[in-house]
This record gives sequence, structure tokens and C-alpha cells, in this order.
Amino acid sequence: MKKTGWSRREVLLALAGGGAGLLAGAGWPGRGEAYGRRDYFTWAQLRYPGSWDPSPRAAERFLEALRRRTSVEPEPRRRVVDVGSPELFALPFLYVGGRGSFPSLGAEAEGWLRRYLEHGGFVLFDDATGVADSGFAQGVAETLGRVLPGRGLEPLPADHTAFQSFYLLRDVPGRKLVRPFLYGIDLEDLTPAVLCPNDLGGAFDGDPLGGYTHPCTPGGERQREMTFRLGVNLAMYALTGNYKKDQVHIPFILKRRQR
Amino acid sequence: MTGEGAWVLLNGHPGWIAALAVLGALAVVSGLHSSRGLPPARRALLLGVRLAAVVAVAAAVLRPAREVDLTRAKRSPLAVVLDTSRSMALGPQAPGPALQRWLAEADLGRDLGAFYRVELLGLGDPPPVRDPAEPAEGGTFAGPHTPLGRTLESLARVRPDTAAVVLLSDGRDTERPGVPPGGLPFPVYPVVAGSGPVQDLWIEAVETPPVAFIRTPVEVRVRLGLSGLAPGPAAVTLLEGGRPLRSEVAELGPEGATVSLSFTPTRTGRRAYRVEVTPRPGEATAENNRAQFSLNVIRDKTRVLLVAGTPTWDVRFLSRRLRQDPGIDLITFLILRTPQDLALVPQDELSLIPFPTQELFGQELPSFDAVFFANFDYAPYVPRHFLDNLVRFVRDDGGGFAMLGGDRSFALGGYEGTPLEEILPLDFSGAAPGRAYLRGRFRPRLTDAGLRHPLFQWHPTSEENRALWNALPELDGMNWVLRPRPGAVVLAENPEARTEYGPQPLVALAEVGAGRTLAVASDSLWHWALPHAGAGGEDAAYRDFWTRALRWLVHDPEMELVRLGMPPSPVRAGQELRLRVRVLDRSYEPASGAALGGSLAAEDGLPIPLEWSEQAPGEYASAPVVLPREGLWRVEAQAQAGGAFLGRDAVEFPVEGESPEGLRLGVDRAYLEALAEASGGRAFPLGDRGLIQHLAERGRSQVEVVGRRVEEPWAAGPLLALSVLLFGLDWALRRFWEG
Repeated sequence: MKKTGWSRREVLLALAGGGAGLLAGAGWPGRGEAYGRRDYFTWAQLRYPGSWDPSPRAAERFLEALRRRTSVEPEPRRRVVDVGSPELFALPFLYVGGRGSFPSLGAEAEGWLRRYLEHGGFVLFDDATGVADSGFAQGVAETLGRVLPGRGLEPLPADHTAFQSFYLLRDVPGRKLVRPFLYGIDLEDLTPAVLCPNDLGGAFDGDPLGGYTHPCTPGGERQREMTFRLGVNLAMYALTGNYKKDQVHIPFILKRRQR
Repeated sequence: MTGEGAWVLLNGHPGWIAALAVLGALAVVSGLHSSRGLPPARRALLLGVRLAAVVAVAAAVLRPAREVDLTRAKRSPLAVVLDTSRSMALGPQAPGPALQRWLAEADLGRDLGAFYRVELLGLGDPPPVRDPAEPAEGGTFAGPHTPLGRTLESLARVRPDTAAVVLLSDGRDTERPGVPPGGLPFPVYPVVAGSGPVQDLWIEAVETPPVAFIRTPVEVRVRLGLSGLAPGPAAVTLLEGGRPLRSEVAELGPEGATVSLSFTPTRTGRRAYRVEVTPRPGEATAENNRAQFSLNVIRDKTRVLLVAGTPTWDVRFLSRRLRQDPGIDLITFLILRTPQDLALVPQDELSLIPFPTQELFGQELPSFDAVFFANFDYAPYVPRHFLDNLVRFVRDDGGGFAMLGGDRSFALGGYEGTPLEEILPLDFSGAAPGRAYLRGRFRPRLTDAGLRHPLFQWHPTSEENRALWNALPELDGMNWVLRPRPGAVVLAENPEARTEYGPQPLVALAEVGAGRTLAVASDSLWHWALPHAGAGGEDAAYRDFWTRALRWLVHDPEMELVRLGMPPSPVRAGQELRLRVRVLDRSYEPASGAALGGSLAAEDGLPIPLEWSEQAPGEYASAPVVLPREGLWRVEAQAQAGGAFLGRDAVEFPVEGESPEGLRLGVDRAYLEALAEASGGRAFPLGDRGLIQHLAERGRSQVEVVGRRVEEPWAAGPLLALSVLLFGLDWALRRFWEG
């Protein structure tokens, strides 16, 4: 059947012609004027036996950046959840940091994680070890292999939504450039589990006075900025899924990437 | 009359023939033997005499005779078929009266009675025999149909000996227009009346696609015919429910024109439409200047526009749910960044696109089936006047609209006092500024209406459904609204938050004109998905709620408790009709004992009340009703059970004229000539005596054998006497010459 209604392509063409844009608006209400504003994003962090918290202030610094850069209203501080806690299911974004190794969680906890992933939860594994093929990365891969049998962690392609959910990114930064990839496991049309080998949290972590705990090597502050962008993208990916894969967005994104 | 006849032997027994052959041989042999010594001439004479004697004996014994057939004119049936349909007498150059006069004056019985048995027949299967002296009831030309081809085929079947048919018709077969029957066993001789084309403009046909898709333009092609009138423009209008949808000017050529009318259906189901072409001066009739048709409008995919003021888990799980449904075409716009957010990067390093306000709310809104505002504060992105478009989209175009809660929704979204507020099911005007959003967890409660409404019928049995509901986790936070608007239905509420109007409504519905609206005054319904799964439940409740909510918003027929059946098609004026309706109760079981109301009305007529009776559980039929005239008719039915209103349904359907006669006037000469040629006959102009002469000649050649005469030229006695004389002569001559 020939569809004669409005196509996404037509929308894009219309937009390219100069439709009223978000940023062209005037008379914006002050954000604080709306009473009752609530938090729509919570950084939940998993506490497990082992080195679970290599960057204790990473969440706080990142959430502030997320609040300042996007329309997302994050809860300002992280929430720590223990393995097997039912509280996790009210927190669809889970950060799992670690250094050196990642222990086996046990069958019951792995079932708990499987249920979380299958029903819409998102887990970001962040390897703070700073070396390739660390014990943490291997432990995560083995755990996910048991949680989602038949699937394995694979490098995310360059056109994965995680690289274009807010910023347009080409590289995978972090505190150290260990690997040029993010790794993920697909479930249906989403990637609910992502592993970053480059220590995102280490790049975010800072002191109470506003300084950063660790230098980013070799790219310095530019690399740190790009790491924040990747963090924002991953949070946006968790919140919006494949929204940026919609046909309505693709021509715009391709055009900007070509510049 | 006699035929040419044939020679036969009356006593041609083979034994006799053999005996005579032996006798002849003996006669010759003995004659040759006894005449030895005579001169050859005498010998030949003797032999000839002897042979003549033998032949005479043979003729006397075998008795040769001539058989002659006695024949007469066959007088097979000659059927004179008179088309008695209404079209024969319509228009200023109607052929009926002229043909009737010719029939009376021609007196076929007088000229052709010697050759045929002339019978006057009408149209029908089998064709009725007519008495020429008695006109039919209602006049000679009163038939509502012209089953021309079927009449001739029936005649061939019931009267296969028919010699020929004289057809007095305009050739306007209403069952198979323009297609003469083939394979007839008799020639047909149409008498063609009419001196020229009838002055008329008519709608020849309306071509529609087999189905149309809601909110997708559909093209209707209207073929116009023109005869006897000058070419020129003609206005063609498409109407639905008496309301013009589209009008075009057709440039008529010498034989008419085809014009396309495009429109966009906004409701599913079988819809009825009418096409009209403005009559031109001098037309023979305006009856054929309009045509009705119905179109089955279905939904390809449900097109949903989801607009969210910020990414939230509520939006994330809702869009995930909608994307999982292959029957939904979802377009989402999320506000990922506001001007208050720091850019810090060039635009080219962002994947963000401008919000297409004009395209969404100014142009393409009608292409959607439902629009969701999820925690969306319109003011920074949508000029207020576009909200009027949304209201029209719902009220006039039958679209669905849902507002979902959050800190940018309802009163917090600035909707108080806007046109959109008026179509929402919930009244939030005057909400205290400090109480615009209620924080904290709460356990919602279904109202009585909610317990019965399909949105919350997640399980077939009420007990299991209730258990499923009770197992759902608490929700977290809701918008402060005061009360439902008049006519709205609250399905779920927060019993822990009360105003002077009662508990705070959480989920409410409203019927708004042709469309529907839904309000969910919370942004935490996603708790029924992931958190519920964490507690050991499944997300079926969440999935079913949104599936059913969307289906309800877009008027999915399966979600309707009261559903009218379509009348059989086509319906004709004067026809007795029984309308049927299926009624379900709130649990979607057949509703027995429901109280039904309803009416039937033409576009411009007073409604006719309908009386219903239950035929089977949940199945009701109206008392028979006769539709007095053609046009677009609308039937409505509503049902109540146990004092509760179940719903209503309405169906529009076209009613054709009592007969298709008059849709096309004038003699179809091409049809009549093709019919004559295909049957081996010939068309004759009215008044041409050649028809009578041709039939007479044909009749003369059609004879039948009525008997047989045997002519025996020679009697046996004289032949025997002759043979004796010859034998005696043979004996005497031999004696004399041997002498």
C-alpha cells in the first residue's frame, strides 16, 4: 500500500526548511518557577563484595553535569544498592564500577540481574583497572554470559545509538584509553548492559573543592570533557533507548557527522 | 405441400430378388441356346422379347413405387419480448410508447401467423406471457429492473424451439449493463426506436479502492456520461453525512469525463458517501446526477505522536511498550535540552534537532490517530493557537489525546485556561500553587467504573483481575487535580488524597465530540513494569493497560460494547430491513436483557424510532422497517444494562433508489446491435417493413413433414399379362422362323 500520510522523511525536509525550532523560542519560563519539580534520573550503584567503589565522588560530579547540560533532572546523589536488593527494580539505571576483579554473584543474584535486564533495566559496567583484559572485565563477561546465556559482550558499532543519543561521538574516552570500544550485550533491539574498559568514573571523580582526582591520559582535559559527553550519552541511552534511531533523526545525524 | 420423393420396392424381399435374378439368367441362357442358327438380328430380337418378359415379371413381383413426403409450414414460436421496465418510458424520447404503438399497428399475427405462433412475452425468468390487450398493473412500463440478458437466456432454456425473438427494448440491461448474452439458440431481431441521443448528464460509475485507510488520503474516481448536451464544465461534489468533503470541476468532453476526488477518512468502519453532479439545463432527468457508495475504512497502523517534556522513566517504558507493538507507528519527540541547559559545544557536535512545531501541530496532526503529551509543558515549544488544532483534531476529526502526569503537566504545564483544558477529563483549574504536585507513594484504587471498564480488564475473571490489581506496586507522586469534568469517567483514584470533591482522580476518560481523551495524573505508571517485575510479577498489567488505552482512544471497534452490524448491501428504497446490534456488558460478556434504544434517519428526515428484540444472548434485532427513499441513512443504537450506560454505536449506509432504472436513459443501440449479431439476427429500425418480410421468408423455409404418400405406377396384373404376351410372342416368332 502506498502510504500517503506524513512520512518522517517529509518531516525532516520540512525541518530543514526552517521550522520553528526548540532553540528559537523566546520567553522561557525559569526552571525554578514550576513548583514540585522532581527527580527523573537516579544513579544507582551496586555494592558487591570487592572493590565496588573506586571513584566515590564520580556520580555526584557526573549528575551535576547531566543536570546542567540536559533537560534531565537527576537526583543529586547516588544511591547504593546491594546485590539482590529489591530496591534495584525501582532504579532502572545501575552503575557497576570496579577495579582488578569482579566476583561471581551467585545463581540467585544472577537471576535477579537477569530479571532486571529483561524487564527494562540498564547496567553500565565501568572498569577502573586501567589495563586491557583486566580481571574485572573478565569477571563481568563471565557473569553476563551466565545471566544472558548465548549472548556475549561485543564491541558496539560506531553507529550505535549510545554514540549519538545526545552528543555525536566517535571515540570511547575515559580516564585512560585502554580500548577504543564500548562493549555491550543486545536484548531485543536494545543494549541493556554496557561495559566501558576506560574508567569513566575515574575521569568524573573529584574532590569537594571542584578539582578532579585523576588526570586523564593522554588527552588531558579535552579527554575528560569527552568522557563527560560519553557519560551523558549513556545516561540518555538508558532513558530514551533507541529514540535517536528513529528515522526522523537519522538524516540530521548523518549530515552532522559528515561535517 | 409435397416433397420430391424417393423410389422404393414394396416387395423387395431378398428371396424374391434372388429368384427373379435366377429366372432372368435362365431366360437369357435358354433364349441364346434355342435361337442358335438364326440370323443375328432375329436372334437379338428374340432375346430382347424374352428379357422384357422377365422384367415385366420382376416388376409385377417386386412392385416398385415412389414415396413422397407431405409437408407444411412449421409455425414455430416467434417470441415478441417487450421490455416493460421503467426506463422505457423515461425522458422526452422514451422508446417504450413508440414501440408499443408499432406493435399494435404491425399486427404480427396477421402477417406472420401463417409461419409462426406469435407470443408476446415480458421480462423475467421465466419470461411471463403477456396479453397485448391488457397493460400491466401500474402501466405497461413500470418494471423496477431490466433483466434483459437473463430473460433471453431463460427463454432459451424453457422454450428451446423458439424460432426467433423480436425484441422491443432500449437495451438498458440493469443486471449486466452493456454485456449482451451469448450462445442463444435463436436469432434476436431488436427493433431500435429513438431518433437521437437523449439530453442527459449522468454519473456512470464511482470507482473506489477496495478499502481505505484512516487518516490517509483516498481517491474516488467518478465517471460522468454526457449525451445530447454541449461539452463544458460541471461541478462534482463528494459529501459525507450531508457535509461536502470535496468539490471539483469536471471538464466534460463529448462523451463525458472522469474526475478524481480525494479526501481523508477520519473514522474507521464502513462509511457512506454521496457524489453529486450539478444538473445542466435541458437534462432529461436529474435522477442520475447523484450516486451513493460506501467505503470500508480500516486502520493500517495506529499512528501515535508522543511528545515528552523531558526524558523520564515513565516515557521510556511507555515508548518501549508502544514500539514493541508491530501495529503501532510511533513518532516520538523528547525535549532533551532546554535553553537553560549549558551547551558548551557547537551545535554540530550534538545530535539534537529542532522541535518541529509547525509541522506537527500546524500541518500533519490529522495524520495521527492519537497524540500523547507526557509531562510536556507546551508554552516554550508550541504557540497557544496550535492547541486549538489539537482540540479540533479530537473534537472534529475523532483523534485520541492523552495527557500523562509529571511536573510539567496539567496545571504545572500551564494548561489552565487553555483550549486543551476544556477537552481533558480532569479539572485542575484553581489548584493551589503549593499543591500542584503531590509527592510520595500511594496505592491507587479502582472506582466502580474502573472495575468494569475494559482498560482494566486484564484478566477474564474478575477475581484474578482483582488479584492482579492488588499485586501492583505503589505509584510515586501525582498531579493535583480537583475533580472530573462533567461527562468524564474516573477509573482510578488516589484514596489517600482528597479534596472537597472526593478522592483525587488518577485515571479518567472523556468522550469529546468525535474523539476521546485520557488523563493519567501520574508519571509513575512504569512502576507496573520494572518494579512489578522485581516483586515477582509480570509486566502484563502495564502492557495491557496501554494497549487497551490506545485502542480505546482510537475507537477500536473491538473495544466497543455496543456494535451495530452493517445492513446488507445494497439496500434499496422500499426494501424491508432488520438491523442488528451486538451488546456486551462491562466484562465483555454478551449482555442479555439490555435496554436498547435507537433510531434510523435520513440526512434530512425525522428519526424513525427502532424497536429491538433479543434474538440470542447479546444479539438484538430491530423490528422490520421499510426505508421509504434513497439517500444516506444513519442508524444509531445505544444500550443500557442494570441501569448503567454501556455505549452507543452509529452506522451510515447508502440506500439506493427503488430501482436502477433511470440511471441511464436512451436506447443503447450498440448493445442491441451486438446482441443481434451475436445471435445471428439483425437489428431493424422502428417502422422498417423489412423485419416482417425477413421473418416471413424465414418462416416459409421452416417446414415440417406431416405425412407420406406411396405412388405405385404399375399394377401387378397388367404386368403379368404383359409378360404372358411377351413370352407368347417369343414362342410364336421362334416357331415361325424355325419353321
